[in-house]
Amino acid sequence: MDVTGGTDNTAPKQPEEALLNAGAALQRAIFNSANFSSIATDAKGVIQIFNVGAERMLGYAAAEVMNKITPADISDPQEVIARAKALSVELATPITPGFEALVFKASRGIEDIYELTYIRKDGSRFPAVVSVTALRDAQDAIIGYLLIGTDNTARKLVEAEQKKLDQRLRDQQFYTRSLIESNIDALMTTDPSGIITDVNKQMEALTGCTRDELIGAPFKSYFTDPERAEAAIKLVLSEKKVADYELTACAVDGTQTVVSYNLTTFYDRSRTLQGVFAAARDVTDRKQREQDALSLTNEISHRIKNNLQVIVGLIAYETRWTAALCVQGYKSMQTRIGAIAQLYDLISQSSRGRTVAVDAYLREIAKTMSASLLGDISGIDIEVKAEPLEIDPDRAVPFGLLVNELATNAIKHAFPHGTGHLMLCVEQVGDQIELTVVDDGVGMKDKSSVKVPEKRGSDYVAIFVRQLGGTIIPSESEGTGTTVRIRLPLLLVPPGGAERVAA
Amino acid sequence: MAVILIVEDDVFIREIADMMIQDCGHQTLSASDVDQALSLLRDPQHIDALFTDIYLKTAVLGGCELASQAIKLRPKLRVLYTTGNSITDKMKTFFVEGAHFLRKPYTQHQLQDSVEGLLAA
Repeated sequence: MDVTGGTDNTAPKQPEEALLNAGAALQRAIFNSANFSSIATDAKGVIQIFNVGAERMLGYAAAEVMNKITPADISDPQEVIARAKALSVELATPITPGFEALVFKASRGIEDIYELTYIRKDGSRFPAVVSVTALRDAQDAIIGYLLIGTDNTARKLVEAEQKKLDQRLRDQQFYTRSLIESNIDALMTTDPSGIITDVNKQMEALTGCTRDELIGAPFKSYFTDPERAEAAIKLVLSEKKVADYELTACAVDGTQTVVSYNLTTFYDRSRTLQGVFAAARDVTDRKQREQDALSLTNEISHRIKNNLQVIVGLIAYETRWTAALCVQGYKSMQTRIGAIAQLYDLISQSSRGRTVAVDAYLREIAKTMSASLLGDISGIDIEVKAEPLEIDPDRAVPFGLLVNELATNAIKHAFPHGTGHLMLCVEQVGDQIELTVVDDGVGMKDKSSVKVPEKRGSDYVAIFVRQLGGTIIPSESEGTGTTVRIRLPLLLVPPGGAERVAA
Repeated sequence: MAVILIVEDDVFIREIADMMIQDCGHQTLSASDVDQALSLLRDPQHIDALFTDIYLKTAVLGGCELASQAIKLRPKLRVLYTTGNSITDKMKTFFVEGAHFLRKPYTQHQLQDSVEGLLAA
C-alpha cells in the first residue's frame, strides 16, 4: 500500500499527471504536518504510516509502531469498549471492541469523526478528535484506513473552563434566588409602569396567585386601595426610595393582609432605570399589638377619667350642703381636677415615646385654654414660643399645671376689658430652663409680692415650682402688663436625650 | 323644662349627672346600657335629649351606636355625648348630625351649660 502518492519525480507532461503530482504534494504536506497525527493502517488495522504529527503527539517513533500495533492499542481501552457497545446498538450488529470499533462506520462508507482519548508512550493521555477514512483500491476494496487526529486538549480545557463558569453562574443564580426566596418578606420587582416582572414565593402566598399569574400583571391589582398602590410606584420613581408605606394586600380568596412596603428603584450597569424593587413585611401582628395597646390606653383613660368624674361628682354633691362662702373653693378644685384630666390627654397627644414635646405640649395647653376659658369670640389671644425641648412625662403634669395656673390667672385678672395678648415661652438658658408667662394687661399694683394675683393660685404656683425644683425670678418690668419668669433645673432634656433627671 | 335621658354605665356618675341636671330644673330618665336606653326610647314617654357616655361597658362605641338607633326612633332627639377618652376625627364620623360633646370629667356648671346649649340649638 502506498498512500503517499509514489516517488515519481519526473516532470509532468500532461494535465492529469500534473494534477496527480499536485495531489501527491498535498498528501505529503498533510503527512508532514506536525499539527495533525496521520496514521494509516492496512485493512486489518496494523499501522503502516505514522507521521511526524503522530510522533509528536503520541511520543512514539514511527518505527516503534509500524507493522506492530493498531490504533486501538494507543487508544483508551474503556472508550473503545464503550464505542463498540454503542455502535452495536446503533447499527444493530455485533461490533468487536478493538480496531473494528474505531473504523466500523468508515468501513461501511459512513463519514465518521469522533472524540477519542489517545494514550502516549509515557502513559499520559490527551483528548483527540479523530477523522476516519477507508482507503480503497481501484476495485473499491478496502486496503486500509487513514485516521487523522487533532489534539483536542486546548478545546477541552476551554470547554471545561466554560463549564466551570456556567456552573459558577448557575450557583450564583441559585444563591441569589435562594436569598430572594428565603426572605420572609414578599418581594417583587416591577417595570417603571408598575407591571410586575418578578416575585418570590412569599408574594405568591400573599396574593394567592402563581408566579406566572403575577408576572405581567399590574402591581396595583393586588391591593384593597389600587390608587394608593399606584401612588407608591410613582412616589418611589420620584424619590428613589420609599420606606414604611402601608398597603393592604388582597388575596384572590379575599384574605386581607396589612403590609409595610419598602420600595427602591433599581438600574442596570449603565444606570438605566429598570424598575422598582418592593419588599412587603406582614405587619398584621404589629398592627394588632398597636390596636391592643390603643385599646388598653383607651380603657385606662376611660377608667381614670371616670374616677376623676366620680371625684368631681363627690365635690359637686358636697357643695349642695356647703356654706356659700366655701362653694367657690370647691368649684376651683373641680376646675383644677378638670385641668389634670386635660393635661393627661395633652401628654398623650404630645408624647414622643418616653418624652413629651414641650412645644407641642404648650400649644395644646394654649389651644385648650382658648377653647374652655376664652370661647370663640374672645379678644384675648395666646401665643406660644417654645424651643424644641422634651420633658420627662413624670414632670409633665406639674409643669402643665404650673403653666395652667399662671395662664389662668393672667386671663382672669389681666384683661378686664376682654382684649389682650398672652405669651407662653420656654427656652433653655445655660443648664436651666426658663418659663416665661407674659401678658400685656393691666399689670399688678403690688409688685413687691409674688407676681401672681390670686392667693391660692400663687400658693399653687409656688408648690409646683418647688416640686419641679425651680425658682421664681422677681419681675423687673415696669408699666403695663405682667411678666412671670420661672427658672427650672434641666428637667427638660434636649431632643434625643434619654437621660431622666432626678427630682 | 326638658326631659333628658342619661345613659351611663357607672352608677355613681349616672346619679350625680342625674342630680346635676335636675338641679337646673330638668326631668331625667336614666339607663345603664344600650338595651335599657332603647327600651325607654321606644316607650311613648316624651324625651327631648339623650346624654350618653360613648364607652358603655364592653361596647367601645356603644353610645354612638345607641344615638344612631335613637335618632331613627326619634328623629328630633338632641344628642350630647360624653367620654373621658380623646375624640378622634374618625370617632366624630360616628356622631349623629348636630350632636354636642362634653369631655369628662365635667363640673356641674359645664354640664348645665352643655345641656342648655344643646336644648337651645
